[in-house]
Amino acid sequence: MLDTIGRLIDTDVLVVGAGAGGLWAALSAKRHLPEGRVTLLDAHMVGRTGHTAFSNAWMVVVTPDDDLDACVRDIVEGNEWIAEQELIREVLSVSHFQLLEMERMGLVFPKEDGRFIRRPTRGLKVTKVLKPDGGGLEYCWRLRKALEAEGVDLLERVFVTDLARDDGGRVTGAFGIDGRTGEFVIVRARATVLATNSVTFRAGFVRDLTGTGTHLAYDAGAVLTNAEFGYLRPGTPKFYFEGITFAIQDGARFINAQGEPFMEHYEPGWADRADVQLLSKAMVQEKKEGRTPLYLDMSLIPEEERGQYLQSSVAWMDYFFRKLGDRARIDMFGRTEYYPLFQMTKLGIKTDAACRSSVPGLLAAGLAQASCASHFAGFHIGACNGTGWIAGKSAADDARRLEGPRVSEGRARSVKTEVSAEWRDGHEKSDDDLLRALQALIFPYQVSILKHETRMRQALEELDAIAERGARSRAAHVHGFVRLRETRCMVETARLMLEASLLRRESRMSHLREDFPDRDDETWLKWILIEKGRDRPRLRTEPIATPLVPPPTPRGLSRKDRLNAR
Amino acid sequence: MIVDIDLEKCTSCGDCDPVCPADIIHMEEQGGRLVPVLKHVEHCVTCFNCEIFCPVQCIDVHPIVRRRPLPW
Ligand SMILES: Cc1cc2nc3c(=O)[nH]c(=O)nc-3n(C[C@H](O)[C@H](O)[C@H](O)COP(=O)(O)OP(=O)(O)OC[C@H]3O[C@@H](n4cnc5c(N)ncnc54)[C@H](O)[C@@H]3O)c2cc1C
Ligand code: SF4
Ligand code: SF4
Repeated sequence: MLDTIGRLIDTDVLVVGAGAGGLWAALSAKRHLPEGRVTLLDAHMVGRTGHTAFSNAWMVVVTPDDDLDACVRDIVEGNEWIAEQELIREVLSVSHFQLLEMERMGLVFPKEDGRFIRRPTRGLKVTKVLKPDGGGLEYCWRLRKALEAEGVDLLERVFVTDLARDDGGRVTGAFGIDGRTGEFVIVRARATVLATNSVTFRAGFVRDLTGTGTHLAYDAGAVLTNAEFGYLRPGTPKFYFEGITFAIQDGARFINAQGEPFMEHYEPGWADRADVQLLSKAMVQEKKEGRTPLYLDMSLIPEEERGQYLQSSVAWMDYFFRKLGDRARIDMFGRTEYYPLFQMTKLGIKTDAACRSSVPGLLAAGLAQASCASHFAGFHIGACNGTGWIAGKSAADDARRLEGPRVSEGRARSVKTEVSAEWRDGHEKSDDDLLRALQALIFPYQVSILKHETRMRQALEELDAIAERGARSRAAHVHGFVRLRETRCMVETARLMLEASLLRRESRMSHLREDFPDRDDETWLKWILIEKGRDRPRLRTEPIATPLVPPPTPRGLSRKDRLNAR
Repeated sequence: MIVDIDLEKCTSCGDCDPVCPADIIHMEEQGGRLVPVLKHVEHCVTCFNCEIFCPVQCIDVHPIVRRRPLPW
C-alpha cells in the first residue's frame, strides 16, 4: 500500500514549481479540466517564491493592434534562430488574453488615455513590454488568489526528489519530502508539468534560488537542450542593479580603464543600449585587450534624475536601495567596476509546440522549458506565461486521455530509502564547500563566458572530481539535503554546459568560442539535444525547424552558389 | 543577509517563516512562546521578504551579500 510508505496524494494534473510558468500551468489545467483535480506543488510558499516573485515582471504582450508575425520574427531573429518558432507564435498569440485575465485578477497595468503603457525592450525591434504595479510579488500573489478561487490544490514546502514512472516509462507523478519534517510524499498524477526554472550556480541575491526539474526530467529520460547558452549580463558584485537600461537612457556610460566609452566601437548602432549579452561580449573583448577595469559611470546621470533609482515598485529592490547608502555606504552614482556575470544557464526541457516532452505524461513550462536561448528583458515572464497556459491545456488533455497512473510500491520504497540515507546519516558537513569549488570552476570568464576547447576539457576533468565529492556527500538535516540535491544538479548542469559548448563549434549569442569566433549558419542552425546515457550524457544535433521565419541567407556562399541554391 | 529580529517587538505571528524562500526562519517554542529562530543564515538570499511581510517591522535585512568568485 503506497499510503503506508508516505503521504499519498492523488491528482489529475501535477504542476511542480510555482513561478510564472507553474502558476499559469495550474490555472490553465484547471480551466481545461474543471471536473478534475489540479495540484500545484512548490518547495516554498506559492505566491512568495521563485525568481518570478522577485522580478520586475516586465512582460512581452502582443495586443490586437500589433503585427503578430512581425513579433514572432523579432524574437526568432533576436535569438539568432535558436527558437521554437511555432511555440513562440502560440505564446505570443495567447499573451493578450492572459493580460486581460490578469487585469480581472486585480493586477493593475498602468494606462494612459485608456491604452496600456508599453515600452520597447533591449535587443528587440518591434515587440513591446509592460509590467504590473507591484512587480513579480503582486503578480504571484494575484495568481495564487485566482488559483485558490478556482479550486486548484496547493501543496507547499514539498521538495521533489524524483519523478515516478510506470513500467512503460510514462511519468506518473513525483516523489518528494516535506521541507521541514522530512516526511516522504508521493504524488500520483495522470500528467505532470515541470515548471521549476532553469539552473543557476547561485549567482547572488535571488539568483541563489535554483531549480532541479530539468534534471528530474533528464533522469526520467527526457531530452534537454540549450545547455551551451546562458544568461550573461553586466553587473557589479557591490550591489544589485537591474536598471542599467534606464541609467543608460539617462546618460550613464560603460567605459574602460582608459576612460573610453567602448560600446560605440563594438556596436555602432546600439552602443550602450545593446542587449546584455552583446555588452558582456564587448566587456570580455576589452579584458582580452588589457583595457580593464571596466566601469559603469553613473556620475553622468543628472542629479535631478537620481531619486528614481533609489526607489522601485518592486518591494525588495525598494528596501535594498533605501538601505544601500546608509547601511552599506555605497554610492551608486559614481564609477562602479562592472563585470560580465554569468547568471544562469538556458538549459531546458525540449518539447513540441504543445509543451509535451519526449516522455509520455511529462510536460514543461516556464524557463524549465527550452523555447529559446535568449529572453531579453520581458520575454522570460512572457514565455513563462504562454508556455504555462499551453502546458496546462495539454496536461488537461493528457489527463483525460491517459489511463490511470501506476506507481509501484517497489520504486516508492527504494526512492524513500535512498532519500533518507542521504540526510539521516548525521553528517554535519554542509554542501557549501562543494558549491564553492563548483563556482570557482565555472565563474571565471575563460570557462563560462569566453570558451575554448582546451580550457573546457580541463574544466570537465576538474568537474569529475567535484561530482565524485558530491556523490559521497551526506546532509545532517532536511535543509542540507535540499541544498545538496540542488548542488548536485548544478554539477551535472555544468557538465552538460561544457559538453554542449564543446560540440557547438561556432559563436552565437551568449555562446562565445574563442577558437570558433564566427557564427556559422550553414552548419549550426541546429539544436544540441542531450539525453542521459549509461555513464555520460549522449549528445546529438537536430536541425532547427523554420516553418515561420525562414533561415538567414547563408553567409560565406558566393552569389553564384546562392543562385544555384534557389 | 538577515541580521536581526527584535524579539521584544515580535508578536510571534509567524508570518516571516513561510514567506522565506530560503528556509532561514523557523518558528520554534522558546520559554513557552513561539519565536522566529534563524537557521543557516549564510543561505539567506537577501530577498527582504521577511522584512516586507513582518507586520511590526522588527526584522532587519542588510543589503550586502557575500561575494561570488568574479569572472576575472
Ligand atoms: C531580480 C530579477 C528581476 C527579473 N526581472 C524580469 C523582468 O522584469 N521580466 C522578465 O521577463 N524576466 C525577469 N526576470 C527573469 C524571470 O523572473 C524568470 O526568468 C522567470 O520568473 C522564471 O519563471 P519560472 O516559472 O520558470 O521559474 P521560477 O519563478 O523560478 O519558479 C520556479 C519554482 O520552482 C520551485 N522548484 C524548483 N525545483 C523544485 C523542486 N525540486 N521541488 C519543488 N519545487 C521546486 C522553486 O521553489 C520556484 O518557486 C528577473 C529575474 C530576477 C532574478
Ligand atoms: S531576506 Fe529573504 S532569504 Fe533572507 S531570511 Fe529574509 S526572507 Fe529569508
Ligand atoms: S513576522 Fe515579525 S512579528 Fe511575526 S513572528 Fe516574524 S518577526 Fe515576529
